[in-house]
Amino acid sequence: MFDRRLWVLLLLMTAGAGVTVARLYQLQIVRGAEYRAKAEAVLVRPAAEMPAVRGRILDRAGLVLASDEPAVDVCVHYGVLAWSEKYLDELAKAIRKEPAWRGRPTSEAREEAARRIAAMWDNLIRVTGVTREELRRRCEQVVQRVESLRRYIERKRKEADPTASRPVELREQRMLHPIVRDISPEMRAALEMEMASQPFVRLEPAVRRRYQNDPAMRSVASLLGRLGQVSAEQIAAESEQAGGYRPGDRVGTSGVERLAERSLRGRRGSETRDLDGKLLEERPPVDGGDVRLTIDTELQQQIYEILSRVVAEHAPATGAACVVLSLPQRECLALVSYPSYDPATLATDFARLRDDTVHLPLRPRAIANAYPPGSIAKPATLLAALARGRVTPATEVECRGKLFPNVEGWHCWTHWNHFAPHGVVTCVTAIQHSCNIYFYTAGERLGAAGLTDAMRELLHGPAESEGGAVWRGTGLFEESRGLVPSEAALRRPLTPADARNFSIGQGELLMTPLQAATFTATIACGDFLEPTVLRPDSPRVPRRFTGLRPEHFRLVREGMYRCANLPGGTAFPHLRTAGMSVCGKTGSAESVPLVTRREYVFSGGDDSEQVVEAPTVEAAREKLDLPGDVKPLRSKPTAFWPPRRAEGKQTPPTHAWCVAFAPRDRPRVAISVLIEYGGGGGKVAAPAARQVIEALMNAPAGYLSREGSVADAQRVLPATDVPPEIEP
Amino acid sequence: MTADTDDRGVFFPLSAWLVLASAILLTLVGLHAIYAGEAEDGGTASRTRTQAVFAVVGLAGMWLVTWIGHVQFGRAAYLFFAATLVLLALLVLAHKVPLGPVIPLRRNVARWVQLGPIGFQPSEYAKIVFVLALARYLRFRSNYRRLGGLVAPFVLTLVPTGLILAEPDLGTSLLFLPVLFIMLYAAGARLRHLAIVLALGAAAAPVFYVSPLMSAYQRQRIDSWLHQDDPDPRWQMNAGYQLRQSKIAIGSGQWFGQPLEQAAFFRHDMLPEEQNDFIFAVIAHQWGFVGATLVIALYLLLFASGFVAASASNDPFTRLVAVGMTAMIAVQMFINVGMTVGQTPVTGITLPFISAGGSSLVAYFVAVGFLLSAARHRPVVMAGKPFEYGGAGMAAE
Repeated sequence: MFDRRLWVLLLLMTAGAGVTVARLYQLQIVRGAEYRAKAEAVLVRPAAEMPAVRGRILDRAGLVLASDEPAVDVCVHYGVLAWSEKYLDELAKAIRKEPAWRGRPTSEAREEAARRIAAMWDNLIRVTGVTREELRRRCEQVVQRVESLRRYIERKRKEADPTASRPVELREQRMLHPIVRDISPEMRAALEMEMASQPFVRLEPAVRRRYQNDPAMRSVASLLGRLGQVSAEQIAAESEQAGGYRPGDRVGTSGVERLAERSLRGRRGSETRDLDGKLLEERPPVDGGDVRLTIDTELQQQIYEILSRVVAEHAPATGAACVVLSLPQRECLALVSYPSYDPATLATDFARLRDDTVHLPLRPRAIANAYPPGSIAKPATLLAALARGRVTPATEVECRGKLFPNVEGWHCWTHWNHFAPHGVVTCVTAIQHSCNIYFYTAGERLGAAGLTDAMRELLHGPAESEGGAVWRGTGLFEESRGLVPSEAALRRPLTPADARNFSIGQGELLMTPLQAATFTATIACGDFLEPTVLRPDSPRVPRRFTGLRPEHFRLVREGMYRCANLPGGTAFPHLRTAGMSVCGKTGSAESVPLVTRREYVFSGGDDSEQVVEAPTVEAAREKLDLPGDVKPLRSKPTAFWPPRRAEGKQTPPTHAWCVAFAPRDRPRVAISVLIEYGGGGGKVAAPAARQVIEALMNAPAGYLSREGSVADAQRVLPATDVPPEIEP
Repeated sequence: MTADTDDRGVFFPLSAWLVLASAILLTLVGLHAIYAGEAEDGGTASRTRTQAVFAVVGLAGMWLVTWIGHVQFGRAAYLFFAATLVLLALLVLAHKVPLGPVIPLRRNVARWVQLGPIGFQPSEYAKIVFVLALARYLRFRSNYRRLGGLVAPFVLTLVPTGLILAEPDLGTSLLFLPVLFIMLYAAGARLRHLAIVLALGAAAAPVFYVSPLMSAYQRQRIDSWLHQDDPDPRWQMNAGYQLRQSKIAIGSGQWFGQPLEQAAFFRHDMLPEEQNDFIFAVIAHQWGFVGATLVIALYLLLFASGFVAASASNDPFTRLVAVGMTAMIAVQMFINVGMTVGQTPVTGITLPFISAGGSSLVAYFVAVGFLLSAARHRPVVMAGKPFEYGGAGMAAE
């Protein structure tokens, strides 16, 4: 029996071994490849990502306006930023490992940790000059950002698994966060001495966007735009194939930085190494491409100075804008908004700049603000009426100072200035004298709908699809599309009165200085092309208008030439330039006062209300210490610009416009100048435009080469251009 | 029969040579695997050397046991057993009373006895002494053919089991009951009785699982073993991490294994306990399915040889010693390999002859010594008549 039982035992053991071998077969042969892959995977370090260098932004002449440069940030551990007790314990534990602290009680070590943290803040304040309040604000910002992300993830996890109870801990909570960015080498040396060997603070290399530190930067600051942190939406929208964004990545949030994001950002690289450090796979980063602007920084700066002088001379003017387009390619040689800001001090000055609601220095007026165009829209009315045959070159209209003999209103501008009425005008003299009566008549004949449809094409470009004309402009994010009113946009039927208003550029009609310059370019060239701020690789092809013949444009050009160069022209003699045949048109658009302060009412919880007066809603929130997403219940204006005088009804000064192109026969540039609340276009804007043209003539790049004598330019429309019968 | 009780000096039979050969081969496999596991430590191979030294010590111990003979040890079996129980009790006592440098308490675990430079784990020797004592108890009795007669062997088993469990050392304590069963079965206990006990044990297992006898981390190990194919990180990390890494190491060995230079898996400590409890994973990774199967075959050869030695003897004590020692080695091997491949829960138990560790290696060679001694202890067969062919007396039985 003993032997038999031994046989059974041996058999059982063999069977057991068989089961084990079967299991080995399953693991090593059946699933071998899978485990092999896993083994290789655990031996590989997570891919290290290498950031790409962001492309530079250069101006027309190749001057570097923005580029990436290495920098140093002061980074502080999240535990210190959030006053985490747990982190204090960790520090205390580390302190107790130091020889001098071995064996001392934990409570003392904790006090020491707190003391070291306090000393670190003191040092930081002393060396970098950042105030304690500012540091505290930055700490709160970081903590708020991380906490909201943590809560978001926790909520998502709860949704997926309601039983999950463990608090989420993010990597960010164990990281050092930049608190003072881009410190100078001197600060770095000082801080390295002071802060060496503290685990909670570190000086870390970073990449900083460096903007050309030059007086000229002030004039291009808002155009270049800024970089910010990538948003969750952008991360989600950008596919991994295109390089993908990571949280914390820099992304252009405004201006050219945003417009040319795709070319500028490049493509991150990555490298994979195994645990021995051997390189397994390397994908080098592709640095971002440089972006060449059409802007001439030097010209831009000259124009900025011209505008600053004009604004200073014409109180209560609040600001000005000027756009210079090269013809026929419509490259923006200058895109100036005055006033602007110094990008170097933007961060520290931000609140002041934001709350300057009179001058709005952060606003790129040239593209972002739309104004009533006033008389500079009159050529559009004329072109529309000519195209539709509502007027002919020979049509005569008699101006008696007002449109209707028995109705007060619908005056020509001569009425208010107590000038003699224009008498009989044709299309050319109507432009020259900017006669309202002629354009009221033309507008009426077109009808409001006909006028706006035609204007939309002229101002925004010929319709490319069924949807009608849409302003595309340069593609800059800040750009306003202006407004050519329609019934849909106004939510009311259009009347003949609208037609009259729109025909002289008043009413709801709105135009940005960029649109004004583009329209001037359209008149000068007889076709349409969107303006651009980026140097195009190949010449772009303008689009033609249907129904408008070259002679129509020639009539408008003649009117604008006379406007600038003949007595009686609204721009004469302010726009006339020696050595250049300038054509121009002025405009003085009725304005509404600017609201500069408001009284904001916020809910104070349980029915109470908090009332605060502030220039902006952000400033109001700051005054009341409210979070950034609280909306006011209501607000009412409390202050205006220009300041209201106590007595009498008053209207603010008009916005002064002047558009021009030159030279007359083969136009090379088109410009628009706007002086906010500047007054009359002829007296205020036209001289500024002339200075701009002179600057263009003197520019070394030769945008406008000097022509023959003024006398030569004095010649009136040659007989070949216009049939003699329309001569006034 | 009495004439053959002290026939030392007589040459060894084939079974003894096979036992010795497989044990030494397994030890060499182990040395190589330990070396592979520490190849990155600047090439000092210190653990490999230590293991080699202990292998020599083990061989000496084996020779000593063989020279003295299991019969002599059998006479003092109860004495050894009592002494071992006292040592184990002292280990348990160390949890309450600090016993200083002799029995150090590390992380609330007391497994070691340190006498000057020499340290050892009493539980390793308890296994051998237990087999001797049980063999001595069972040798002439037949009352274990009754259910009531099983009580005494069980008490003999449960006392050391309980003491070792209290060290705590769950892995080692798990050995005793299976060894008892195998010895009882070999000794001729009724299957019916064993089945009843087995059923009772099976019924008690869930109770044991929820009882406070089992600590939280042990329960966690069982849970993560049951959930080993669940991709949830809850099971794959923490308690399930070792098993997961072990399976990756084994699986990635595929047919013929990964060469040593590429064994980066171990160089980077991807497998905890790679030289001790999980050394089989190192072997399976390095030598693949073929190598791992050969190692298991080597074990089977050892077990079969042990049983042949048992079968060759007429003496009940000798037979039971041979079966018991074989069973002790076999049970450890199956539990260890089982846990490495994910067939049994992870318990701290060494792989015989292969795992790094002085106490266990010496103990296994001592067990081999008993097997050799038992193998040599055959009935004296009068030499067949010279020149007589087809002799019937050549076989042992």
